[in-house]
Amino acid sequence: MASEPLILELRNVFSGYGEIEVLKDVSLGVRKGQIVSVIGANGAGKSTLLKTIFGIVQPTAGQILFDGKDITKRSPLEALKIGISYVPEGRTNFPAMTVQENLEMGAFIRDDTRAVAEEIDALCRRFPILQEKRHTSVGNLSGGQQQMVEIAIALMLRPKLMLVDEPTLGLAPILVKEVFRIIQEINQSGTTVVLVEQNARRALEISDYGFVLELGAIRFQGEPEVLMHNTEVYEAYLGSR
Amino acid sequence: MTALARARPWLLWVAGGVLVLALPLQYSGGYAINIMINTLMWIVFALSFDLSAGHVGTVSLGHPAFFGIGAYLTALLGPRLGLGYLGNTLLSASLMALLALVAGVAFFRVREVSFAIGTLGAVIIAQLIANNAYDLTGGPLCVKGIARPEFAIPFTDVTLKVIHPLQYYYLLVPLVVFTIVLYKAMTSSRIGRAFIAVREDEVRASAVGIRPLRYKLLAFVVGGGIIGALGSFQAQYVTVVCPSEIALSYTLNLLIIVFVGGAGSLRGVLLGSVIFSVLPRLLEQGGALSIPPAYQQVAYGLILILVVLFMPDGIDGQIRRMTDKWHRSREVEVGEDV
Ligand SMILES: Nc1ncnc2c1ncn2[C@@H]1O[C@H](COP(=O)(O)OP(=O)(O)OP(=O)(O)O)[C@@H](O)[C@H]1O
Ligand SMILES: [Mg+2]
Repeated sequence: MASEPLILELRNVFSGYGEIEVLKDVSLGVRKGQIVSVIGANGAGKSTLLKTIFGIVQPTAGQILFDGKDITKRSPLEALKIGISYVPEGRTNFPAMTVQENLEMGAFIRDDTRAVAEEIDALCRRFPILQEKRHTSVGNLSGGQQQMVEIAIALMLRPKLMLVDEPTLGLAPILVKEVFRIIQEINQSGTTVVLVEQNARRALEISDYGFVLELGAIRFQGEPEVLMHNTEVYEAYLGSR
Repeated sequence: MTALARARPWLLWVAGGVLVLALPLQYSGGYAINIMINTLMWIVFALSFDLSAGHVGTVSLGHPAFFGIGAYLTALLGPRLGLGYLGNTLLSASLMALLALVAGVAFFRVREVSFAIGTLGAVIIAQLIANNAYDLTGGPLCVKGIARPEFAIPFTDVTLKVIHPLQYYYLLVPLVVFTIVLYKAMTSSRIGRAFIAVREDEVRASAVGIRPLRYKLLAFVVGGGIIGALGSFQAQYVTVVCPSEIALSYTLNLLIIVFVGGAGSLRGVLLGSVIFSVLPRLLEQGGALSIPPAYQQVAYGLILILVVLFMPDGIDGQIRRMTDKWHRSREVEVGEDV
């Protein structure tokens, strides 16, 4: 695994919101085909990290590489085009639209309606709940079902890299498990995943590698077993909670 | 589906079109034709407002500013530039689209509520200027004597001067048709889906490659341009432009038409425009039955409250629910037949 090339690399990245600097000198690498978790306390900058990679927030310094190419200055649109997709944190879907329409929105930047329709059919076969609720407004689905739709929207463009921000937030334990299973399945079919999670233990369990973010900087990193056996990490993020 | 059912939307449009064209011939008397012109104006006003408010979800309380300034532009620049009706209309439309662009870039930086309040402030300032810039606008004395539209009929020496309200009515129809077609074209295309996406979830919209600011501006600029054109029509129709044309009461009426009629729905906004233009006038008719004006307003208020209570999704939502029910009950019947 470790021999796989880096699909994503951040070199000394700084970023934030205007005057507020959030990420401070972040360097990290994500290997192709892996699930990589980013854990950290509230306000540590996890979401900002994903937004910076996707281009919603632009870095003020440093460099971002994707597949070895410099993508430091890119818009979300360009990020989508090169194969990066992003599932924002919280309930982020289009509640007044049906599941079908939500999935169509996932491929908004594509004009080929027939290819989009085929992609939707394929996703509905892969995740039966989408087929079952295909013509229901997403606002009328349960929290877990909505999360499924939200992940599926990001799959519409067959991304090489998927950034997922706290997909299990507010879900019942059984659904948390289901969401993690689906993320694993997506990963197995070839998509590299960067996963931000509060649910640190569960996240590390399905991950190949992990980063611990503290106050906008990478504090620890390593394979899950290493992190789980690090006493500081254990006490701060994995102890009985 | 039967051929009739498939043709029904078309039939409705054709019937509506015939009605719009024929009705004023039947009732060309002063009072009725005024209500009809007024109704058409509200349709244009409300549809351009709904592009932003109903589709993109950006509620600007400042729409009357585009109307009033558009009217002033025609009143003040029209005579100097010697433009005809079409020239005046296009000038007001393009300058108001430009103003909407500038205002949009400035105001869309802030969040929804601040946006609404900010645009409200813009109306108040515009009205203050209209009231106090005597040299320019004549202040409360208004700009008077605006030229009525004239059209030279090709290959003849005849010029047609638009004087009678009936003529103004037919002069307004093209703008109404243009607005409806543009509204329909925009909202039922890819652009329309982006509008709704921005309304439903701005963050997610960005995540699927939509630039929210771009679509907010698009709806706002198109809306501003249409209302600018309408303001120009107003100036050339009443031939007087006063500071009261930049009125917040217009905003109130827009909110009622769009949100009680059915935000984001062509049918809802059309119905809202007709109902809330005609209803107050009908209640005024009550004056003839010696109902005092205060009671007329109370009655209007009560009707509004009742509508909101019994049709929480607006008039359009209510119709949709009833037709859905009807379709379902018919499906059941058909099912039993088999
Ligand atoms: N849009 C914004 N404008 C200004 N500051 C922001 C914005 N979003 C986040 N911040 C600030 O940046 C810091 C990091 O926020 P971020 O959302 O990245 O944290 P997080 O690790 O994702 O936290 P959580 O676990 O609560 O989601 C916080 O101090 C936050 O207040
Ligand atoms: Mg976060």
